[in-house]
Amino acid sequence: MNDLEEMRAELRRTLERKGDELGPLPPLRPGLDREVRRRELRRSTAAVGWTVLVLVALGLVVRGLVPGGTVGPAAPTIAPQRVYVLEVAGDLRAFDVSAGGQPTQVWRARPGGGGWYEDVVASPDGSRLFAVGAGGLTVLDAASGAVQAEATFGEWAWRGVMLTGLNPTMAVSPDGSRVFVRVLPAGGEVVLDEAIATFDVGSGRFLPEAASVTGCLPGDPVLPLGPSSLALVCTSDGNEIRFLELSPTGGVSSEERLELPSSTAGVEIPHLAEPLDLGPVAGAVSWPERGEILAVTREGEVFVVDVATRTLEARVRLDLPGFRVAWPARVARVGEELVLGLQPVDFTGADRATHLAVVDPSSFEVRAISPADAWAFAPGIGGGPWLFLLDAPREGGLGVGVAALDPMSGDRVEVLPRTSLGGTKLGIVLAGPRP
Amino acid sequence: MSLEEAYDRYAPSLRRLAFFLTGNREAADDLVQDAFVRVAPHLPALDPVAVGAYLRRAVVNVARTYLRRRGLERRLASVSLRDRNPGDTAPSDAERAQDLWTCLLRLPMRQRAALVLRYYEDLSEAEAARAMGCSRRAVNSLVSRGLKRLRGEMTQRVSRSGPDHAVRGG
Repeated sequence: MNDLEEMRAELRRTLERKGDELGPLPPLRPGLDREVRRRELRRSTAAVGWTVLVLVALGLVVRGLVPGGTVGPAAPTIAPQRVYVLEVAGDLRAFDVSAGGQPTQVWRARPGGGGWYEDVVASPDGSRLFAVGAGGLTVLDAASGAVQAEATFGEWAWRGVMLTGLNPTMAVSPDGSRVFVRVLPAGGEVVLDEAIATFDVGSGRFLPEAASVTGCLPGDPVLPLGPSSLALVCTSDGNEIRFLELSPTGGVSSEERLELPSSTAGVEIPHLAEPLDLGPVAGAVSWPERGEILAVTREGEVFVVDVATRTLEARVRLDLPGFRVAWPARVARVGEELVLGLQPVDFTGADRATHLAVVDPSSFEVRAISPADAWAFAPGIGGGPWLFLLDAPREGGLGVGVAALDPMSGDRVEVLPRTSLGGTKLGIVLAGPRP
Repeated sequence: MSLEEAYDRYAPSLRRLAFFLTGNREAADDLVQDAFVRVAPHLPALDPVAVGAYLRRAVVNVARTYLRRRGLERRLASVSLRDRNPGDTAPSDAERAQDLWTCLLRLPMRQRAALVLRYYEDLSEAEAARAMGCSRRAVNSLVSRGLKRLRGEMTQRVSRSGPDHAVRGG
């Protein structure tokens, strides 16, 4: 017997000895049934609260812009555009809005087979919408709402979509040819047995396999790097980026992992009675032209990861006096700048961003911090200075609206009045050209 | 399978697992109950064959969260072994077991979990990987590193205590 085998045997004896020292098993604690019901209630409440996703299609003809993309001195206005709202009940509605005018509903859709949509993204050109519900994915014409294609999930899907409200459940490859959908495989555990299903836009079908990403959490950012290439910032173990190459059938053909330094505290979901520890990385964004992924921690440290070599190039602490990065992390690329959602360090309210910071991604200088008060934000698909916010209600307020904000100047324009969106809470705001 | 049936059947081994992962009896009792709270809603729909694995995984998850949230992993890693002088007599089996237990608790949680799942629970690499939410290769690596580190610490410990014990250590 070699020494390692002897160590194994000794370890086993030691554990048996220590296990025997445990006293009698206590009974199930009283009230455990109630705990189970409360936990389920919390889960369902959180899910309903996060069911809303707002997709704003931006005409990008923003009055007040001068050549060069900076904002002129005139009061900014937003030209007519289309706004897509995925409501709590699961209906997807499209509005046309004009500056200062009331929104007009253009179309309304819900899955033909019943149920409801749980998430939606737009194609890179804004012409199509991809919406997922429990049964599968629907391709909609963004202009008319007409169904162009429907695809059911494969046998691997159990509950279908990972509804998170934290980061998008879906992501589109940079070339628009693939849509990646986070799903729960049959028999998997609710939180950690996650997989990514790939919808092939050309064939209108899901690939037969789902890529298993076991061990990651629902809110972990998925960053498509190509039609068969993904980066997944996996925070369940604290600090890991997984680079996945997908096989032609949708499974994982190769995987590389980069462990990030774990020097900062973990993030806990603030409104759950039993917080999940999500590790230090709070959000991430890919930057294809630079070949980089920027992963941001709650404390405002940025990890710069080189995609080609899959190495950590740099780590930089941002100067965010009195603030920390909001959770769920709001990180977006706006033109050539990085925008982060912030909260004051002593902020104890709900998980919205009270401010937005504009960061130069080369020097990592913080160029501006503007008040925002948003559940979520995202830039326009075509670029430009405007961010679209899912406007959070203030204390005691009702309803949610959509506003456009230039984070450099602080200029803000109401797009959808608060009263237009009843019962919404969190969502992702995207922007694209009006069909 | 009902909650009570599952508890009667699986709680004793899960409690040991939680104890080995945390080193704390009271926490182990609480964590096992927490794991049942998490899993209870899914019990009716689960294949009875899978219930044990499902619960085991829940225990590993709650233990990991427990350690991380309280910063206990770092504290456990800094637990010191008892000092031993060159003239001391050979450690008894009980002392040596206590030393090994301390060394085990000093390991990173993932290495400790991999060792316990493989060599106490007798799980295959695939089963341990599923319980830990990682790949088989990762389990293999964690076990290998954990075992080597344990051996290193124990050998060093024995070497410090005299040549007789060094022979025994390997």
